[in-house]
Amino acid sequence: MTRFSRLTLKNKIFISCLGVTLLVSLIIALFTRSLVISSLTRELKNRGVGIAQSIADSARGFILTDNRAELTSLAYDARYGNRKDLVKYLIISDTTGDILAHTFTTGFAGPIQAIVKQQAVSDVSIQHLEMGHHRVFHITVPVTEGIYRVGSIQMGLDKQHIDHLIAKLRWMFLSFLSMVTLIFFFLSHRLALFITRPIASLIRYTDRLTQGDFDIIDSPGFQSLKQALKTRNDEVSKLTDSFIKMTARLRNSTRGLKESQRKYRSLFKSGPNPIFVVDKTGFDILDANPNATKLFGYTRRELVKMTLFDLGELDTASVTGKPVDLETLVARSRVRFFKKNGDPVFVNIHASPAEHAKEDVIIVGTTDITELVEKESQLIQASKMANLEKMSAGIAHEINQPLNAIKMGSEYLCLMHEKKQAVPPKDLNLVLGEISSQVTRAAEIVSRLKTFSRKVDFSREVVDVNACIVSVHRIIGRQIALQNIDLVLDLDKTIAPVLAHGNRLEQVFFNLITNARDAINERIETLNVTDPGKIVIKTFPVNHQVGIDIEDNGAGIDPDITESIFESFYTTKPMGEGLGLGLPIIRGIVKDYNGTIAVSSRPGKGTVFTILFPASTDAPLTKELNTP
Amino acid sequence: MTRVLVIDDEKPTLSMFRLFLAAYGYEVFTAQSGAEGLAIFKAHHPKIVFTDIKMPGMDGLTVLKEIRSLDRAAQIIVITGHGDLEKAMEAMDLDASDFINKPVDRQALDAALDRAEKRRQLPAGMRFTVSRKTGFSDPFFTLSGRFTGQDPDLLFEQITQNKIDDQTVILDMDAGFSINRTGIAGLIRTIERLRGQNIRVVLNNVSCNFSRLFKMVGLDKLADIREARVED
Repeated sequence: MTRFSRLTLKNKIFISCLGVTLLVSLIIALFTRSLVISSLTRELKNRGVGIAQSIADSARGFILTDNRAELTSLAYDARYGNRKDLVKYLIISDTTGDILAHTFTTGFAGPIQAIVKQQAVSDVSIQHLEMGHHRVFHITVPVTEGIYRVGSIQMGLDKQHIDHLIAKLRWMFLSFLSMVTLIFFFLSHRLALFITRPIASLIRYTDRLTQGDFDIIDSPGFQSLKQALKTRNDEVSKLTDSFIKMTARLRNSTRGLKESQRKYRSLFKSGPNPIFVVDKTGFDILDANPNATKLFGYTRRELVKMTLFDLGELDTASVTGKPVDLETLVARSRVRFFKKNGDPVFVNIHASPAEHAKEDVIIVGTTDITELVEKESQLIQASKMANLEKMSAGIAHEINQPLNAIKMGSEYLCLMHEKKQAVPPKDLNLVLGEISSQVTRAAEIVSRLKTFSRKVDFSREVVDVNACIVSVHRIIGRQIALQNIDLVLDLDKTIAPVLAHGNRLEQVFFNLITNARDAINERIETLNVTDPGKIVIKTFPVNHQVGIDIEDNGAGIDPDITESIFESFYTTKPMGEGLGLGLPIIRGIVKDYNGTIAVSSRPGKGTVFTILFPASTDAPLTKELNTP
Repeated sequence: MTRVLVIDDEKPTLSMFRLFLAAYGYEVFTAQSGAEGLAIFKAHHPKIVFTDIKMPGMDGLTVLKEIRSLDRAAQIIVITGHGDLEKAMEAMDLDASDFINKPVDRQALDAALDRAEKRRQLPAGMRFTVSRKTGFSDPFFTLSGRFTGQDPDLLFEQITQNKIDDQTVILDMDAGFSINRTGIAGLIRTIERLRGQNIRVVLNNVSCNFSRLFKMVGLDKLADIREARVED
């Protein structure tokens, strides 16, 4: 059976048909042999009996009259014509078994005489006899006159003749069956071919298709096959139809696929942004587009030997304590990468999982924002300078205080010296001590300014928010106080540090505090009220975050414009006065450190800006918190 | 002993003032805020008051106004930040006797005290007068009283009604002379008019603090400014 199932469909059909034909032929042959031959033999015997009975009827009178001549002629009549082949011999005998007439010309053969003698027949009987090399059916028929038996007719049917007839019949039958088999052999072969030839062609075309030769369905060979099958309406033609449809669809989708592949390839190649294809598990770089090689200065060959982490500070696990998971991380902004020559490049990263060459990969698109970062830091620096300029009067005032004490102290000593008067030791102590401490105070102011105006370097650090607020307070606290505004710090010392630039955070707080001050002054000017201004800066921990509230009782913000205050170029201040960092940049800085800023305000009552930063798990590098 | 009150929110400044003024022989009171200063003023009636302008709470100008309303004769010297022209002008409008800049130098302090002492002898609220003095090589006019926006014409007429052959006029400012914002504008205008007639103006005996104010508004480019000498 396994051998059969291994055959081709054509051979299966062929062998099946042939097998069935042969089986049917065999059954017919056996049937014929058992039924036809036996009925033929029986028929011949009956015929023999019939001949013998008709002889017996004719011979009755002659036996009674013992007319031997007539009986002999009667006996020979039985072998008259074509009966001669069938009837081998005929014997007419009386009741005693004496032979009255016979057809033997060359003497009795074998045991005939004895058989006739002992024959005391009253019924018809058929006996099988061997007579020399002849085999015969010996038929005995009684001759009766009324109820009396007067003699018998004994006749030999030539078995050889019967066998000859049967052999002839069998031969004819066999020839017929052979012919039928031959025809069936031919037909089944044709049938098998008819069914399997289009299938074989389809198989051939499918093989070509799998090699990617989709234009095969336009080839003349295929068209003619299509035409040939069109006239048929059977399963094979339907199969072919389906095959054509499938191929057409496959060709279209393959074309579409190729086209989109080409499109993406060209996007990948000519896209303005560096794109990497990285391995999902090890972040090995599998491919990089020309712009990636251009920006980072590595050749593609060098890049594919590296991992994404080799390029930059993406591995922030050491800082944040959390493993980097690029799959969930869709975008990450302002990541510092390095060129081959060591120059830093700032990029925004967008990652999306994809499949490439049957592997799970991540497509990492990067945007070079170095220029933006530089511009932004220039902008922040410029606004810092603008702030300093605005602060200059206040700073001058502040520096004047220690300078005044120093000046007056020293001039006092001069005066006493000129007058040649002795300075009481108590006063001398006071003056000298004051001079020294006021110099320290002035130096502190200068160093604070220096820190404030310092340019920010690009790497983030672990920053204590409270320390930033205290430092801002040192810079403008006095000036705010001089404007009769109460600046209250309500700092929670347990808050976690955040990952940011301390100086930038100071800028944010500085600007929000000066905004609050302006809002308070606005309220006092427009509403002409005298109740004192108050700014409260509060820090608090909330859900692994660090919260900072900056609350004022100033003019408040109109609900209509709370949405737009974070937009670029929006200012409520008159031309030339809006020199602050501006809320859009403040929000930009806050967002940079993955923070959020929100505002809630009641016009005429005040405003609260709430900033939330994710807490960093690391301890701050420098933990100093000196409340003034 | 003349009583002096110093109001400043800076403790070190107060200490130094105390030493200085004590050395000059004054009885010194100090206050760290405007409110405290007013209370002390009401209690002790000092003749001379120094007050800082920029202070948390009640600022120097309010203190000036309040004290003026209590005592027209009190000599009030405001302490301003260096170069703070606007505040100085405001103080002059409020009839401050003088102003000095922080950091306070001895010369300015001496001048202010000297002027205050002289003004203390004069009646308060004197009107502006111009008088010609003889015995000088150039025409010499003494200015006294409060010079305001109405007075420049008077000054111009007084100068031009005398036939001046010489091309230089000396305007001498005595201790009673004071000026406000519109007065300064008027003075500038008058000097420009005189220059139009080819008359050179010399401002004589200008208190060193006023001289600073005049320089700030650019008067030194129109006229010669000769500062007053402080006699010890």
